[in-house]
Amino acid sequence: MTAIDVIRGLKGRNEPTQSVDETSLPRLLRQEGTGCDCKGCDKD
Amino acid sequence: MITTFWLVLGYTCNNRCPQCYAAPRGFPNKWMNPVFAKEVMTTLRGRGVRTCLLIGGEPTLYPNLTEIISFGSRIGLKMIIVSNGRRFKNKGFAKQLFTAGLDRAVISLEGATSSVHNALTGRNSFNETTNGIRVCSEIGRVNTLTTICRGNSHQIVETIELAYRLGGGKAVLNCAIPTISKNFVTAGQSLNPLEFADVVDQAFWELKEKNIPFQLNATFPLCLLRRETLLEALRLDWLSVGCHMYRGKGVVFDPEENILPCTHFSEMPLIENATGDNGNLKLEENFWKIWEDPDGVAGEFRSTLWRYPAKRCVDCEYWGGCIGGCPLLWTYFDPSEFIDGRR
Repeated sequence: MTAIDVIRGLKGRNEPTQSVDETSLPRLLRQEGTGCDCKGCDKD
Repeated sequence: MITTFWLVLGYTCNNRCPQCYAAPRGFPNKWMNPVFAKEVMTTLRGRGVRTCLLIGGEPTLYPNLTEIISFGSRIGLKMIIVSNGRRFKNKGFAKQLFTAGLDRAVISLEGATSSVHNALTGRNSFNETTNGIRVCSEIGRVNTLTTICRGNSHQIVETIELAYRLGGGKAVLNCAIPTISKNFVTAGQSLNPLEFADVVDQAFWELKEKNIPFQLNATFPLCLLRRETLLEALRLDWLSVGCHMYRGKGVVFDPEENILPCTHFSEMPLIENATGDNGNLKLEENFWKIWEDPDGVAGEFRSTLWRYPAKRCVDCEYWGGCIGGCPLLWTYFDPSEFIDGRR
């Protein structure tokens, strides 16, 4: 089983969509880092 | 495009956390070849990637750890280690790593009490971990990382309070996800997405009232939070949203020299045996071609990811950031039940 097989097997509606350019998002929704990444926090 | 990469130095560990992605494979004792680690670091740094996370298993058990940190730091990488913190109780060990160029330790603190932390780590580890956090805070920089799960969801506020008492920098929260292996998927320690949102909702207002900040990697759909909680958490910048896989901003290399889209795919690689069976390293020549080709395996993976998990996501103002939560939630839970059926 590969990573693509895992994604193809997800539950849900799974209607394809285009990728969303991050620069089009409101500032607070942009990923300064990589989202869920275990890397701690620079905002000390 | 890539901002961060992970080196899974090995899956072996001195803890036995049931919620860990290494658990289904039994924490095998195989280390990453340091030659491969350096090849990866050179290849990614050569195109401007800044951050390298050393992870496991337990990366502090890696025999070549100081050498790898020193090498990465010398070529301009910000070197971060994600650890259970137990070996950091030794001041000399911690000093050695920070002197070699470690930017920061991120130490997993799974509970506010020894009984909760030890149950979630499968070992009598609480005292060593808390000492490790203390030592790192005296010598270098440290963040705690608490993975909200079934076993600790009742003491999130207390765990964050403890993290600050130990001297940690901003406390970070993750959410457990289902346990995924090539043979099975179980909820494991994962709460369902609505339960996660409820735990966060409650902890958020309690911590805000006490003026205690945290950073949550929100891996559940944002619409499950009460709107006033969501808006206030975003305003305070206490939420990180999204997933690096969608835009190819992160990549993982494991000890078998497989390339994974995220650490949780430990038995389901994107590219197997990246350097070939003969050990003839071609990473510098081939990695970027493979990673950036929209028609190649990485491009196909990303285009497969871009799916609306539920009807409500189609018109949602938060879609491109929230992406309906971590897609791996939907290996076990049904998004239509939680997103379309939300309160």
